[in-house]
Amino acid sequence: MSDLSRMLNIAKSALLANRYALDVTSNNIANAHTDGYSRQRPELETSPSVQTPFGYLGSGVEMRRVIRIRDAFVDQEIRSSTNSLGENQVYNKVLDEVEAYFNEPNGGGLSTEFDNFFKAFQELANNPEDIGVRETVLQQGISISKVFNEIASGLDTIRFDALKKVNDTLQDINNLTSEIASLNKQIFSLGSTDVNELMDIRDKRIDELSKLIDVKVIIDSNGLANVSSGGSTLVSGVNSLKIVSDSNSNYIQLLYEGTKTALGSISGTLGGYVNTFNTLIPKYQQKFDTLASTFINEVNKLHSSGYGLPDLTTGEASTGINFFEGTDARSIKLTNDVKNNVRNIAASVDGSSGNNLVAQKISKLLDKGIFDNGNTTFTQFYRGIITAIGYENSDSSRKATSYESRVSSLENLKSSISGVSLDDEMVNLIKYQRSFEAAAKVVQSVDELFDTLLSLKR
Amino acid sequence: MRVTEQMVISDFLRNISKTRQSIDILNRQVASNNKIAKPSDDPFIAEAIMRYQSAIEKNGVYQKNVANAITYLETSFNAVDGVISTLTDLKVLITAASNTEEPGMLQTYSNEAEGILQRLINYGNTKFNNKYIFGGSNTTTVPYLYDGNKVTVSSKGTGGEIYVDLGGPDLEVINTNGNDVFLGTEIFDFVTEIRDRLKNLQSPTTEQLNKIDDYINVANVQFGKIGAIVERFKDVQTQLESEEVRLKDYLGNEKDIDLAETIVKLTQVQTNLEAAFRAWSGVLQKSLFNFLQ
Repeated sequence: MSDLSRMLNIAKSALLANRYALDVTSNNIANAHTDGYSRQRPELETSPSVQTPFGYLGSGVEMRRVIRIRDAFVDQEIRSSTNSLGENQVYNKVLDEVEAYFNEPNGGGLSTEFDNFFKAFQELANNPEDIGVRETVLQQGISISKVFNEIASGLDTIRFDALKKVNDTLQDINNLTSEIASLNKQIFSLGSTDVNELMDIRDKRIDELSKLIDVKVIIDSNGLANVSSGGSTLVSGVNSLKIVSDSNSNYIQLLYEGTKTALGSISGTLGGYVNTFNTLIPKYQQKFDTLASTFINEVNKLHSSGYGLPDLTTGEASTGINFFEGTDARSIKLTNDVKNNVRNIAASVDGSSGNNLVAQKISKLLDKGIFDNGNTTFTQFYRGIITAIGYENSDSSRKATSYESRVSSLENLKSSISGVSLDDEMVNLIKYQRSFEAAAKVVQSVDELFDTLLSLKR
Repeated sequence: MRVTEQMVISDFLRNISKTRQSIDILNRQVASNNKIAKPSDDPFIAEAIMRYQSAIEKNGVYQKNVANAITYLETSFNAVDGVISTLTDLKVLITAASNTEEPGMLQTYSNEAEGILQRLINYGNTKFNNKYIFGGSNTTTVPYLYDGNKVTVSSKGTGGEIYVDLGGPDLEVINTNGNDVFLGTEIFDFVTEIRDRLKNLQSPTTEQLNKIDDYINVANVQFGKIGAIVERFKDVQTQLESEEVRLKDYLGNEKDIDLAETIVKLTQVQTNLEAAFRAWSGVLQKSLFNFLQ
């Protein structure tokens, strides 16, 4: 009798184990397209054997644990590539905006304005006596100043947008780290290292975090994920550390909210926006301001040395008048002296109405070597800025594309390891179903054996 | 390698997105006829486009300048030519007056001399584009004033140069100083003197007859000088015109797409996209599930 009931128990263990396995399979099928889900595999093990007079005999099967299939190395690789991708995407986006403000090379940008400035002063040189032509010079002066102002304010806008983005990103980071810490807490309280669903969610959060900031993850012996970035701790066990920004108009610094100590180097989307504010935009602003201030000074130097048209009543020609005022690209504008009276525009070197030497020199100014000890002209300097932006942006766009393809090939690798394949699951479904049916058949056989035995007695 | 549904889908989507990006770029190129839309598309081309565009703009200005300068010089040229023929007329008059037997004729010659004086003053006050060409840089003041008796130079003088930029390393001077043609008021004074002498019924002197040739020579020198400048400027004009063609050619090479090539590429990419859709609709839908009964 005891042998038959052992058989029944073995069949029961098989029914149970295969039902669990079918549960795992159906859960896999259900999550076949769930983002962040890792496929799970039932680990069936043979039950401990029992001693019989004839030796050791197996006592069935048992479901030991359900494990998730995941490669931590691939995860780390994806996170580090996603991080670089996020950072370069920021540069790419920001520099696209910068390029849009400069509006080169197909017309409408400052290079067109420089050409028009040259044309206007040439026109003035050809007709220094003509009030109508002077009006054109005035309008061109206003127009070129406006383009300087617009680009400068555009760069400011981009920079302060980046500051706003830093704060938004920090909020996302703080939310994610606190969520990771609370997931750690839940995992810890469940006291198991096979809390697959929670671990999947936690990994997904860490993946999201890795796009924003560079992360390094260490799983401790309790299964808690400790997250750090560039040597600075973000999540330590069940606690997360909040980061805040401290900024003035020149610089953003990232600090821990509690201790007010600064964080180490930062990368990712957050790093991208911080660098945009701290160095990327200021670098071009500085060059652009140098261009503007040198332009103001050089034009004024020539203009103030020249003479305007003689006054209609006094017959005196004005001199010593500046054409532009302001000190940089933001503030450049025409002087009121010029704006209020076009006769004050200086074309003449000696006060005679037909002399045009000053107008000639101003028009030539843009092609005169001024920068780099007289080796670089205004237009060359400006084109230098444009090509520098162009090269930097094409570099960031190239990097973004290459990280993107790296991320996607790693995602494929991850999906190949952790992803659900419906074909696999169909096979498993049939496999466990058949095992279940066979175990049921065993129960039926045992039942028949009981019947046979019991009928002997009658 | 184990291939999962997720992989196939994301691969498909990525490829579709890449193809769409190419279509977008090619479409924009065809629509705008420009290879690049922003400097980062190709910084090297962007720099070249800006450089050539600016050079073409400048070339246009220089061509306009040289055309204006030539017209200006031709006006000066005609005026000096007029001065020469007027002085030649004066020479004929002086010769006739020296040889006349009838003192009564001298009064008539005197009147003719007055006419010659006024013709010379008119030439001295020639305008181009409403500007006095012999007034130096004082283009808005009448250079030679006549009170009915004597010619004086405007208080501002006739000095100063008018420059034009033809794109060369140096600016070019295009005006002829009135002084160089009329020697201050010397020639006018000379004619006035002859007029007054004839009026007083005195014949011109031999020195005066000799002097007139010197004056004609002075004008001739200027005449030749202006002619030479005009010839040189015409050369510059030809150079600028051929430079424009060259620059536009360079710009076109950098800036414009090869339309035929781009359209062929576009068609190719569109075909790729359609093929991908077709393949996807056939293959991805199938799994073992479809075959289980």
